[in-house]
Amino acid sequence: MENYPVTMCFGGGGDNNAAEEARRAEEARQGRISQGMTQIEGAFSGFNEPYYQHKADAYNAFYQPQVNQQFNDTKDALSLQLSRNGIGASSAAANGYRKLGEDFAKQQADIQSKAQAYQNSARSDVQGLRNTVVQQLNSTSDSALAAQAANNAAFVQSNKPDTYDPITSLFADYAGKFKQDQSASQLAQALGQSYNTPLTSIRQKASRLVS
Amino acid sequence: MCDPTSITALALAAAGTYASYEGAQQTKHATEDTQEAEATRQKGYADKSRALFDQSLNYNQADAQQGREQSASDKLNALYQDSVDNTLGQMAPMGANVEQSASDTPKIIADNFKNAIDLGKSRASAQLRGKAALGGFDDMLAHTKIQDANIANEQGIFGNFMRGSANVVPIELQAASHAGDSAKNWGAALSAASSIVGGIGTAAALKAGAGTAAGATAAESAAAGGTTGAYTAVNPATGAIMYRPPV
Repeated sequence: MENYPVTMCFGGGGDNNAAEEARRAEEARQGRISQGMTQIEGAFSGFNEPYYQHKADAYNAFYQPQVNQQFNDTKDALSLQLSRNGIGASSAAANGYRKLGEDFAKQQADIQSKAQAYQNSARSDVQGLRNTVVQQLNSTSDSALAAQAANNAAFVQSNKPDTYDPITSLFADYAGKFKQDQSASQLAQALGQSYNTPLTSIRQKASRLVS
Repeated sequence: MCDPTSITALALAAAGTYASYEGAQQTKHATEDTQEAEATRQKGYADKSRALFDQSLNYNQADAQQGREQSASDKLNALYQDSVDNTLGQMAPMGANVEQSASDTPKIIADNFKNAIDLGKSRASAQLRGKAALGGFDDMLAHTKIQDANIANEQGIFGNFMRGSANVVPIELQAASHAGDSAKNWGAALSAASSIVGGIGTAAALKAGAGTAAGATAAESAAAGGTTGAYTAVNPATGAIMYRPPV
């Protein structure tokens, strides 16, 4: 006579197998999600500090030369206008150069500030892409799909061309101050300075007094 | 009372009772084990999620945030002050040119240039310090949002694990409820056997004309079986074996 387990005679065991199978399936699902997270981290590992710094540098490299160019053009126009009116060495000139220098500093800082915002925007974009992929992984528990989605998202983000808005005329205010037939006093007033006697006139008067 | 039939019936009834008790205990322990194992798993997930939450809390502490904000402001301010020095520095030669081109330039004009540049530096520097402070706050906020989103994402994973694990528990509890089935079935079988033996004893006693005493003894045997959920009972008056479905 064969010795059957008691359960063979009096039932039991079927539910237990189902429970063990369900637990194994859940553990396997969690394992796939953990594996998927690792793959997502790997796919997005290239988006690090050097990547974001490069974004800011690229932004600066695009805009700063344009700001410099516009500044140089404005400075030349200011020098020319001051010289034409014989007030190149005057309080008006000093005031004009000071204002232009201040504006230039602010414009440069503005570009640096926007470069930082651009860098943070890139961080936010990458975070959004990563979130989407993690949510897909959470919903599907499919690590292979998550890895593929992560690689695709990372590829798109890293190959997305940088788009920059065209730079406007930063020192347009100065152009409005310079007129062809402008008098020295008009120019001085336009530069926010009460008119002072030009140095050339002072020198001429001084030389006359000496002679 | 001490005839072999009664003793056998009582022994079977006792064994049945014990088997049923053992089955109930097995069910109880299996249920407790299932609940304990799940509680341990849930605590593990909760601990990991809590660790992330603590990490987030630490990251968002006022001191830590102020530190990051200050650090970002300082970094921006350094850039901005460099700009001030460079840009207004480019203006300085304009004053120098005045001095070089006209050695007889009154000192007041040369000083005027220098003072104007210094004033420009001072004003731009102050304004850009404010801008750097604002930029530092923006930078801190941007990083905090990203950090919080990352942590929330990871906590979402643990939440997923918690739900998934909890979903298996009803199946495991169902299995646990059958853990003592074998022993319980043995208990029911032994109790049934006790009742049958008791019934046989009763019938034999009645047949032998032992009268009420034997009937009563048999009834006791049957009753002993009945305590374990047996399915028979004896009418002491008639000695008839009556079927009673298990409870």
